[in-house]
Amino acid sequence: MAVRKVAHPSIDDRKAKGLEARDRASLSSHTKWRPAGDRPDPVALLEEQDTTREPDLVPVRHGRMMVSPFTFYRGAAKIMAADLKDTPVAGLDAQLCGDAHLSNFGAFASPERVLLFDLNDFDETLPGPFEYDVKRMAASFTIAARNNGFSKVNAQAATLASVRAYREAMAGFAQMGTMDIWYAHLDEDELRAGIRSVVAGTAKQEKGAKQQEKADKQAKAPKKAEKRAAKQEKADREQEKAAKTAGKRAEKILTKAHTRDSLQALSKLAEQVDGQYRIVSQPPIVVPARDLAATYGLSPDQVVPALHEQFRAYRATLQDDRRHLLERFEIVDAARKVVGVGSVGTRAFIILLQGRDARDPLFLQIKEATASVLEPYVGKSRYRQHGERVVQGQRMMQAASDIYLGWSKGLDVRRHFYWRQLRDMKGSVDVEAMIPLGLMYYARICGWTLARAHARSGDPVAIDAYLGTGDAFDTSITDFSERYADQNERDYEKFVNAVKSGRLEAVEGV
Amino acid sequence: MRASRDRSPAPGDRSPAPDGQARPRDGRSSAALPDLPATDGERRAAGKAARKRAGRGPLGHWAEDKRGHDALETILAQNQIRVPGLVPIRHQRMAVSPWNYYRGAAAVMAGDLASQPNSGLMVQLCGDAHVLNFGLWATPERNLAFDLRDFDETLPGPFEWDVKRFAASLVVAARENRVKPAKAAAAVTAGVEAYRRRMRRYVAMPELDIWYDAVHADSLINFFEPADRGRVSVHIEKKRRRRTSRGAFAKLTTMAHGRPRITEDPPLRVTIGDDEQADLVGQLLAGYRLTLQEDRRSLFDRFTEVDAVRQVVGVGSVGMRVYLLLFEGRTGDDPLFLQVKQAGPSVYEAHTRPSRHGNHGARVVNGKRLVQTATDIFVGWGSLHGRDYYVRQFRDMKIIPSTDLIAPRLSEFATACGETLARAHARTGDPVAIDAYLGKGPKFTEAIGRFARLYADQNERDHAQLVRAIAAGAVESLPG
Repeated sequence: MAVRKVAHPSIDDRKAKGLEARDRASLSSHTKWRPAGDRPDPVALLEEQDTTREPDLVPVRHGRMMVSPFTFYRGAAKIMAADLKDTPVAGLDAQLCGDAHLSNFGAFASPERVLLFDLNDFDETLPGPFEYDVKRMAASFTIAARNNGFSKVNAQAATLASVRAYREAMAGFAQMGTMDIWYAHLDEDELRAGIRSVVAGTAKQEKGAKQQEKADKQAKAPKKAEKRAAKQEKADREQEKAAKTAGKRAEKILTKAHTRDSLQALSKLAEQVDGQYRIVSQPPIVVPARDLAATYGLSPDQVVPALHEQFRAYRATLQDDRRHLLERFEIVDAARKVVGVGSVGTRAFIILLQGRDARDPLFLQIKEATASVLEPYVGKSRYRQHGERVVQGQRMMQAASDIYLGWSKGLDVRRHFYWRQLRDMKGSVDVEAMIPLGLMYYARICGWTLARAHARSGDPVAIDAYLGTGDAFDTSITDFSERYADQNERDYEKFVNAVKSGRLEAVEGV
Repeated sequence: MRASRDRSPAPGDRSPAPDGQARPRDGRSSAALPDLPATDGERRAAGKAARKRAGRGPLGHWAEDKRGHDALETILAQNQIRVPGLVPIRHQRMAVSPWNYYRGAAAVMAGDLASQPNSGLMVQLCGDAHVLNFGLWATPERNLAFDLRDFDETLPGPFEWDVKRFAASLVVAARENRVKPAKAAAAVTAGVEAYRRRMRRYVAMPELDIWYDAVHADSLINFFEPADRGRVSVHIEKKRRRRTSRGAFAKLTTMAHGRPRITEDPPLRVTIGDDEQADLVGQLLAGYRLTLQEDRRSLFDRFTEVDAVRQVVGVGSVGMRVYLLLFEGRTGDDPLFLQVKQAGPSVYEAHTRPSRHGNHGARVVNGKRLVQTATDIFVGWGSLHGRDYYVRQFRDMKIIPSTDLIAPRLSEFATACGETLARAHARTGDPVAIDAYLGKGPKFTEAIGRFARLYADQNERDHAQLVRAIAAGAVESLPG
């Protein structure tokens, strides 16, 4: 039969490609990261980004990034992209998330109404070297661990766990059938079982260790050992208790995610006026369309038709049946709503729609998409519409995606937007409240998830061959992460000083 | 800022396929789903008003003298777009029994349904909702869902047409398996009542909850008596494991010259020439590929074509061109089967309005997505030599019941089907209006029960007509 122009190399060729990649970038080449000599001023990079943002929200962005080195890191994807460009790469590409830090993983409802754990932010997505995502993920664990006051050993352990999970998962995907990789996902039942086994594991492991220790010590110095054992026992009990509490908290997040829907959003974001719902004004975070007209130089009479025009354009990007479903809803109100950390100041809106009646709401979120921070280093997207770039990248990486993903252009056609559901059982962990054990578990599921996302578009056989079966890659990336966490702290300090000196304006606590 | 419901005309199927451009049709407007009126009151009123168009009692009538077409001629007219050599096989299969005839005679029933008054309450019809067109299959997230399948005839139309085809199929299937008439009647009542009850539930449900509503394998099992549940779930599990691409690979292929080949089984599976294979890939699949969502296109690109054969499947669709294609993933032991099936106009188009889709494959795929809760990720369409096709996965854990399996539990199975049909209709129709039309009493259910019985009789007469014509040599028939 005739063959399409898509290469289908043999397994051996793919393995060989992975092994050859080590000549380009040995596993240990990822260690000993140092900032490049011509490294741009990180504050200047942020200022550059600020010029494209809504001026009144730029201080809010700075304020959110100022909270801690961890929040700074979340907002500094552009800085890290510039640093990654000088790091060694194996030349094995996959669709990248582009901003795979640990808070960009989370749980959300699939089209078949199962709670799935997956990546959930694709603003920076582009095809590129797989290491970029791994490094951004791994460093985020080091930074988050430090932020939580964990010991160096615990920070290293969490970071290492994320990379090892990535490597081991990739080894699994290298063995799997094409469709099996595509369908692979992590759902609520598996998450709950995982959390429980971690908690149970602590209890079991400690009991085993305790008995062994007791026997050993008693043989040597009976009295002293007894005292020490009692102390140890107390510490173990405390850790067991902490694990149980953390496990409960994690499960609560999953349970709570189920309640996070449009109806709940309605009670939080909207009020009833003359029997009609409208979005409540909470400036500068939520500014309803009725108050925004002036900002964009539009009269209220112009806002409604403009909104409807964009809505129509967006609807045309949906699959036929979903377009039909959306036609059962009508627009009730719209507002500008600030979200995230790094993306604060990009244009972001919400639209309130209603179906059969006022108690059948649907919130859609419209977010501006600009060029990916990776674009200068990995090349332009094949999608000229950045909203489309985000949506296609998201579908490529996620096991299952929101049925309402779509895109449109702004009134100013140079501005691009993507659309999605605002609250569809989305749940995210409170990283800052995590104990070391919880972070370790979280690192494992993030590593697995990133590997799955890469295996869909990249070549799992080649990447697996490159990573190898030893822990060389894991320790190299962990070393990188520590060094990068140090750099991030230095950048953070510079940033804070820039605010203090008046170079940057910041509003805190918003 | 609340504005009136704004609906631009949908931008067609937006098909980038070579033949996806909407063909100019003969100036008639195309079949479309209606907008919903704004308020519940208006929606209820629309349902009540529909009773004036077609009373519920009269739905139970069947007037043979008013059908306005001859069953045999309708069957023969369908042969025009089919492979001439396969047409006799179609006749033979339909002549086997009234049940087989019923499955193959969707066009006859479409003409008959259209000859009677209808409610005008439009939904996306499955178009061929007979009892064996309900089954289990694996969803994109690997749940086992109970849903309608086979959307060759899908088109917007009055909801009761699907209900009637479903109800009559229960009676025809029951007679085939010597189920007592009283039991058959009870199954119809159970199925139609399940439809009515379920529709009532959708009246107060938010739009998205209706959209996401699904029947999974576990809940299907609950429709059966506790004593049966174990057996049903064992049967499902056994089939689920066997009916996969890997299972089909083991069953349908042999190695030849170091490459897997789909085995021949004439006339059911025949190999095709290199030219035909080249056209299939170069034209049909090239166009199909572009109708896939982009992430799935990149998944599709991970597979290489290995072999293709021509297939004969089903009863009514025998003679329509069907290809079975074998692909291999990038690792060994990684087969994927796709089925490519010719699509003509829906049998309802002659009686309602033409589809708004330029490609009949696009009509089938988009109809399927509207009706099913979740749809195969590899559905798409294309065309070849002026004929339209749709593509789907072959044996993706699909589990189709058989009549002898369901006959002893007809009422339970009918209940599951009735609920599923209501769910399918609520997605595209107006549950408030349909519920208002159906009402609270047994009137609708009784009428459909009467119709089902009368139409099963008619079906027997039509089947006998075909058998006579074959015996007289007026119609060709070949075993296959």
